[in-house]
Amino acid sequence: MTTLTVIAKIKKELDDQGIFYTDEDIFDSLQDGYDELALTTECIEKVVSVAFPLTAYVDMVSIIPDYFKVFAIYNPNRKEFLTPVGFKHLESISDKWETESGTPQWFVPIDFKYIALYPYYTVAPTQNMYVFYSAQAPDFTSSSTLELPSNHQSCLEDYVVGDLLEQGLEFKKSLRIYQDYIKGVARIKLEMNRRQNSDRVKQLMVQINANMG
Amino acid sequence: MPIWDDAYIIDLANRGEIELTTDVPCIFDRFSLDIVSGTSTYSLPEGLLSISRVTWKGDKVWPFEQRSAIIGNLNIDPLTETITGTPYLYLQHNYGFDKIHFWPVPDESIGLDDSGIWGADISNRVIISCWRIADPTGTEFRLPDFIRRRLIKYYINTKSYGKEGPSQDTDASDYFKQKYQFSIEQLRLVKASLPKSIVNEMQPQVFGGRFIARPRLPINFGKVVE
Repeated sequence: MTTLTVIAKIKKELDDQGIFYTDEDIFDSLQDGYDELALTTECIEKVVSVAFPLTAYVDMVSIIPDYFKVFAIYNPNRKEFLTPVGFKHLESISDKWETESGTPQWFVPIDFKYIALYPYYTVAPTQNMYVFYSAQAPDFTSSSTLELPSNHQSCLEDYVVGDLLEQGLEFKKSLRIYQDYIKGVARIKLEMNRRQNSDRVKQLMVQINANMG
Repeated sequence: MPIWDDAYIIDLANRGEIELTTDVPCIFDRFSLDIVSGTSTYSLPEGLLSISRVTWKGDKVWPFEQRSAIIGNLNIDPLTETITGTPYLYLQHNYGFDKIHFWPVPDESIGLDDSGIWGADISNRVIISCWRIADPTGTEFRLPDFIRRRLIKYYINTKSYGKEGPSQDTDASDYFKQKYQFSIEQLRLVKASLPKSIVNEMQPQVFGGRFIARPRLPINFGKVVE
């Protein structure tokens, strides 16, 4: 479904053909809703091959601009996934983990920007690592295609309709639609959780294999 | 004339971002300290929420509590402590809200330089890893745009519609408060699903987690018993 199709549906829902709400208003709300859904449901998953800097801490946003959360890292040099852990786990392995080099086996997702690798490469490996991550919503254009499961796109429409009614100070109507939106978010999260991590990674491995030829 | 002026809205936006990053710590930072030989207490920068790790030239410095120091018989009084060496313990309580105290007293000076603290220079600096609040006056410590825009909008509307005066609309304020609370809860869930950095007080082996037994006098010691 493209952006224009969604906008047309929303106009119909609001019974407004550009008189009260302009296309620009709808477009802005759509972007906000898409941003919020991508964040709360983590429904946009991507994989990218990156050359990590040769340090213990890595600023992911500087190498993957639409990054917000990593869920797996694959090292093709050893054909294995790194294990996600917390700081406490690394400290139980070594007090000086930040300064120890070697082939990375663990990683710590810290916040929405940084991760830590242990150990870390001091010489760039032959092949780049693959990062599997939840991405921020892309910026819309009028011809964009939504990267949302098709059975859940009504959730985004609910957000936009509620947001536009809110702008028109129709708080009661907006709140009613907002309840539907909250239910929609829960449904998407449930569907994302139902997919086991291994299956998600397997799906994304197909992309890796395609990239590697 | 607008109901709320720009200055009021900007002030609310700043307050909202600070409050949000206090409620959901999600801005990680590292900085180095300017260590002076013989000085054991140092100021921490404004905006620091909690320390997650301290390293002294790459070696971990362990968090410690006053109570444990007293039981372990460590002299941690900055005025009278005499033991010097490479610090392996740090304390935060009772030195002021924004201070850190090293034990033993550092016996070398180590300069401040943040250029390599994320990698190459870790072995040469005293570095503090921490969670901090947003600094809305700058660009470095901010919530990412994709989080900030909506959440701050809900915060501003909650507060501004709730403000006493002709613009007050408590229904609208409650409406935005509900949206703010839902969004912040979602953010908290996303953040919590990252592996956590849990900082408990960890004791180095030297204390072994157990303390030397002390003789105890009976509770009626010193009382005249007829």
